[in-house]
Amino acid sequence: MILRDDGNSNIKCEDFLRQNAAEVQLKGATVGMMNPPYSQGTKVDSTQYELSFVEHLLDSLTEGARAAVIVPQSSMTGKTKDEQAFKVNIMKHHTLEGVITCNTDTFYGVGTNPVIAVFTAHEPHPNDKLCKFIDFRDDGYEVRAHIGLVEGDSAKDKRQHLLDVWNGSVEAPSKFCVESTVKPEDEWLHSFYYFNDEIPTDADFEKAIGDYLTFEFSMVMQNREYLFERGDKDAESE
Amino acid sequence: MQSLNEKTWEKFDVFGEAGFLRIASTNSSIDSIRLKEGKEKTVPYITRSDAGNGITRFVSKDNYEDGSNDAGCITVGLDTQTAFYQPHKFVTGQNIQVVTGDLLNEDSAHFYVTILKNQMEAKFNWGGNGATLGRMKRLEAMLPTTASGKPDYDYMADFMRQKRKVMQTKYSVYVEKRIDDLGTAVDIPALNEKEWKPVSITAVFKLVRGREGNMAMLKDGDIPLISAKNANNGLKGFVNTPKKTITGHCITLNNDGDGGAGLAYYQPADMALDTHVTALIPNDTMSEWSMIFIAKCVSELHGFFGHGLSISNKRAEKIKIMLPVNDAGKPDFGYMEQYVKNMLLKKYKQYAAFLDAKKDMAQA
Repeated sequence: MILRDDGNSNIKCEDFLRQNAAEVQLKGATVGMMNPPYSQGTKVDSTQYELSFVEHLLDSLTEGARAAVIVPQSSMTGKTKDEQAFKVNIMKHHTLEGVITCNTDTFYGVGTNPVIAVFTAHEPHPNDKLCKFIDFRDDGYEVRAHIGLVEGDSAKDKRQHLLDVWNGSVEAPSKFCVESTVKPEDEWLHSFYYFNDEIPTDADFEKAIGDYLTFEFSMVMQNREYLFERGDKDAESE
Repeated sequence: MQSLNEKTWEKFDVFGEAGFLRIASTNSSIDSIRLKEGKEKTVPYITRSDAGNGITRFVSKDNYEDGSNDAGCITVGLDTQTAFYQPHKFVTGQNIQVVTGDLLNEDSAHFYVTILKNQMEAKFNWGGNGATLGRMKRLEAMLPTTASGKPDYDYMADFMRQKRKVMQTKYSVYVEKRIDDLGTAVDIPALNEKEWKPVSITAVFKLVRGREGNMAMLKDGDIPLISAKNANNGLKGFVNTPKKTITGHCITLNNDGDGGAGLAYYQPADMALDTHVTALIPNDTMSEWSMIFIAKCVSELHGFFGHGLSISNKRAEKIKIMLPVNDAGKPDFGYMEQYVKNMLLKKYKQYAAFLDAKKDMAQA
């Protein structure tokens, strides 16, 4: 459609941020998807933050439209003041449905830890809304040497499980999915709301003490016994 | 003592007002290029590394001027999510948090380390989601409780003390047996009193190349996998169903890679062998101790070979090493054996003495 320029294509080569959101809205888009440019935002030009693109996208959609964006997890943390402001603004006008933490190899070759955030446009975020935060780092895709990211045998089942949990037809342990109310200043990430309630096993402790004894043994073998002569004694060193 | 499952576990704040531990940034935070060089390097320099209890190297006490941290605390690495108990006064690199507490001692610390790691590894990861102070301060953890619902600090310390005792006893028994086997030390001439001569490797050993090319595809198991590593006796892991099992009681020689080219190790057990490693199998009967000695002599090749000059079969056949010889000019295996036995005895006894001293201190 682009090549033949038959007029049916809606693909445009323009600066998205310069488009008037209200005008784009007239196109009546009910679904928005975006992979904005990463790590371009600075104090000087805060419009280049991922969240700035996301907000503009949400503003450009129709009321009740869904949007899914894939962004670095640091966007959800919102370290800078500007990013904090974007998060406040987004929640004021739009609803966060949830955030899915992706496989760290999703963009294999570039060191990015991406997450997918899902929003509903033009509905202010209710304070009591329970959002879903999912740890989908184990998505069944594997990196093969010289080839790259490959779909593993379990990928289809895992994707289905993700959809089932997202749609609420299946319950999942908190390790996979945490439901929580959200504040703008929170880190919108599974890891922020998740708490590991599994009790450590004997083997965990054995490893801890075994590692330490290995260290102790190796230090004694290097004639460094003094390390273990009750540290406070060392205070008299000078 | 009650087992872990028999205890009731509950969720508690780790840090903050209600917490039982405190966390703060390190007092030293010395960039490695700003470290002061001094004569005696006795102070541990802790970084975010996961190996060797977080100790990257030892530095001079002069560095205390830039701040230091006292013994008896836990160091936490931002981003790497490492946690280690530090028994000695130390200095650190950047991005280290220090955990202290009134109830933190050498025993309970290891319990807390496990608990902390359990949460940190589940919640944090590299890339902007590391164990920062802010995130750490929100940390909660499951802890075993007393009948009144408080964290059972005594239990945690006792539990670890007992675990340590069991492991140390196991090792002591092993050491005692080894010392028995080695017999008593025998006076022998010093290394520089012996005559040394070059000996061709192939005169003493048969060379066998490793066969495991695709090590990543090997399943976990019980057979040691030896690869061209520069540490840990070349041990990469334990695997199952290798292409070929090499019979133990031989020397392995790294051909290239991982900064370990030219290093050689004695291998006591049957193993799977990386293609980048050559096994040296003795032509005649040779004792474990002689081979430990020879492995060190072979390791003198380290630094000469490397990337760009690997030890190919052809080159290996021409390699000569220096070995102590007897009056007839032949390798003096008896001397090598006794030398290693003496050294092993010294080292085994050194650790046994360390354990004894510790025991006395605990009783005092």
